[in-house]
Amino acid sequence: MSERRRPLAVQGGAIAGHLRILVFLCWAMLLVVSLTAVGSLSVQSDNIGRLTMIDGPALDVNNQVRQAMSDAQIGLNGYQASGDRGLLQPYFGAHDRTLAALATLQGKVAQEAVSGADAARLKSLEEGQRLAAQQWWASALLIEATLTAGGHADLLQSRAMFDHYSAANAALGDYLMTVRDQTRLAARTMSSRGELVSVAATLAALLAMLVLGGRVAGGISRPLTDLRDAMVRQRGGEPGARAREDQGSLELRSVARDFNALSEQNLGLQQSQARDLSTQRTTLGIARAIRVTSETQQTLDVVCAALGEALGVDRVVANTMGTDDEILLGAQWCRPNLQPLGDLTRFSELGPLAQELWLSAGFRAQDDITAEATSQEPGGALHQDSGARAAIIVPVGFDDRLIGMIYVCVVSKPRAWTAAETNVVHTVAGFVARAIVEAENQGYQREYVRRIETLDRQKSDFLATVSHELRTPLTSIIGYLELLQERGAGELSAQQHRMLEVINRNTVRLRSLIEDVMVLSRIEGGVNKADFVEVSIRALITRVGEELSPFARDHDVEFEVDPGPQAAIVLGEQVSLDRAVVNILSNAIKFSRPGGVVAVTCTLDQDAGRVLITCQDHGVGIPSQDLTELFTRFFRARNATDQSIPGTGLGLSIAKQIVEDHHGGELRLTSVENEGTTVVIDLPSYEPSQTQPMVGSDSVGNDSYADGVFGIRA
Amino acid sequence: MTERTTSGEPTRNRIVVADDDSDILDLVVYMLTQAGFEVEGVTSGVAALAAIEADPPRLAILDIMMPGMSGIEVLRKVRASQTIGDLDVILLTARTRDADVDTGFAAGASDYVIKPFSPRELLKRVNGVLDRGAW
Repeated sequence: MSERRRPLAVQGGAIAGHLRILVFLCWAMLLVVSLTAVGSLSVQSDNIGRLTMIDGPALDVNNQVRQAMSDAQIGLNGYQASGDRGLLQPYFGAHDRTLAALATLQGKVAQEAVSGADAARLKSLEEGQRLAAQQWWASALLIEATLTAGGHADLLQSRAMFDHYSAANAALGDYLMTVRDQTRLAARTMSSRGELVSVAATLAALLAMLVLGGRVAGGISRPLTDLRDAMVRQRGGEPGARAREDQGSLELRSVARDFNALSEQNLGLQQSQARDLSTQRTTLGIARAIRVTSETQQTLDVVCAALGEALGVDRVVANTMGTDDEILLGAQWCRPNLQPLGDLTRFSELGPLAQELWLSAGFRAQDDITAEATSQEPGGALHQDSGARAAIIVPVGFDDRLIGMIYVCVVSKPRAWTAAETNVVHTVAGFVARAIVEAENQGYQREYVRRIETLDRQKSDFLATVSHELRTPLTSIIGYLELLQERGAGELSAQQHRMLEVINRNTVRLRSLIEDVMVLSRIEGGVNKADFVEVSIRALITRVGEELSPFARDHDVEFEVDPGPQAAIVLGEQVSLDRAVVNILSNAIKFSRPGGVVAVTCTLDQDAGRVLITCQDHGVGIPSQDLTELFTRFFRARNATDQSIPGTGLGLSIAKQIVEDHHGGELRLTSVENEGTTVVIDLPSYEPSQTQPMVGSDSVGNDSYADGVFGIRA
Repeated sequence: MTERTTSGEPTRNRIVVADDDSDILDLVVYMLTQAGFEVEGVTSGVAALAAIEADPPRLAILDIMMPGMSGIEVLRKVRASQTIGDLDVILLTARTRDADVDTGFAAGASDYVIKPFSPRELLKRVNGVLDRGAW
């Protein structure tokens, strides 16, 4: 309701009613005015009709009679005086005129009598005049006749009769004038009366309209203004602004009531929205607090304190539970004036309760806890110990696994928990569950990574040890073998020589095998592309060619090497690439016939961005049916084993893995049995940048590192 | 075989060889002796260091994996010494990992030979190192 100056409340009836009355009044007014106008007009016209048709003419005729009589008398007098017959003309004419006029007058008088004037008087006056006129004429006729006959007439009597007639005529004339004047007066009176009535009716109607208008204004415009005012104030931020329901017409009062009801509804909605927003902010705040905790115990502590403050409760307890529903970790918060609970793990029945709640996707919200009730139900012990009068119990879980529970209570008096409050606890329970599960996962991940690292280390150590252990005895074997073969212990028979050669061949095999297994185990671990550097293929081929020259010489094979352009650069791991190329080239040498040639070329296709290393031999080739299995480990083509060409069967597999898996290239092999084999290593080329280190210098021989690793080969 | 003529330097072709595997040790000693060197063989790093300090050789060939003091440790101690710091040392080992090779050279090895090796090659390396040292 308005707090300001209250104008007098005007409670009107329905506006419709008022308007009806208003319209009726207008009609009535119109009707009255028009009827009055019509009435007065008709009376007017009557009167004017009378005036023009009767009164006026009557007077006129009356005058005509007198005029005629006058003329007659003058004529007669003149004739009598002069004896001039000619003067009788008017006299004769007048007679007829007189008669005619009298007749007309009679008629008029009759009409006059009808319209209400004093009929008797009129009649007598008229008759009087007629009689007087007739008398005169009778006398006049006599006189005329006498005069005409030559007699002498005395006009005195005639004059006296004429005077009598004049008087009668004047009397009638006067009375006619009176009547006429009366009519005029009546007409005027009527018109002014009519005007009065119109004016009065108009005024009355206007007054009534004013009054009604005022009531309508009071009934409509003030309450409307008030309503609009209330709306404007609400829009301006006064959600409590309401319209007055006690003023205005029926319709507007009900509109005001409806408006107020709507405003209340709206206010309620806004308030509940504000509550939701505040709840959201609360839970977000708690989420943020949880995020910075690192251990579960810390998380629980933070949650208890945050929930306690946010909900304004007296105690919060949070637990985590194990697989047997036993309580693992516990945390609690309570108001400063309360005693904290003791050992939280003793409330063992909470576990099954929480489990049941989680599986049924439910929770407990008790508004009024009484002593008898608590003793029966699970959780009762906790209620009793904490002195709870109202409590919420929410399980904390993830998927179908119970993680723990949250317990919130007040101790002073019962409390009707709102949906917003239980939602907060639920949301926080979700946060806690997620935080705990995440922590667990991270723990698992760390553990897993640690184990992998350990395994990796163990594997490396193992391999290093194994390699060492294998190589050491092999050293003695090879060493003494060589001494024997070089006749360091005396001359050998041909058979001894052959036998030693067999031993030598097999030690070479053993050595290659160890070498290849070591390489394989190293490259099995994949390659770290981050360690790639620019490798000059030109330098690589030159180096490998030089390394394998002794080997080639031993097999009586000639090398034709075209190391390619300077710009042939590949991004990769130099040691592996060396190994791949060495494997291919040594195969080519091994499978060539004595006196054969192995051609190695490097080409750069700048448009396609590829570097190609081609190795071609004209040796024993590979049988076509073995081509498909060629790259499998330890596979050796039939003709290789038949001809006792040494090899582990790992060389190609290793080369392929290095070229394709590690460097994203392609290894292509074509071969025709007994004609030779061509192998192409196809690698993506690399545009050298200024800052990358170049591995594999162009000048050979200064790279002692490469010499050290690859220098000694059987 | 070359001789050093710088005053104060040993001119004998003394080589100290250390390897805990006696077969390998005998092999190397025999080989080098055949080649004309004066060779002392020991089976531990400690003995190697003692032999080197007692009578500084022209060259030491050290196995890395030895019980007690490893070849690398011996190398480091040698390099740290004032008197014998520039002794030529060849590391002889089955450890082929890049990291091991780098460690060896970083410690100051003159050369790094991988087992199993051909005795002929070893001899070539020994001569190579001694020749370089003579420049």
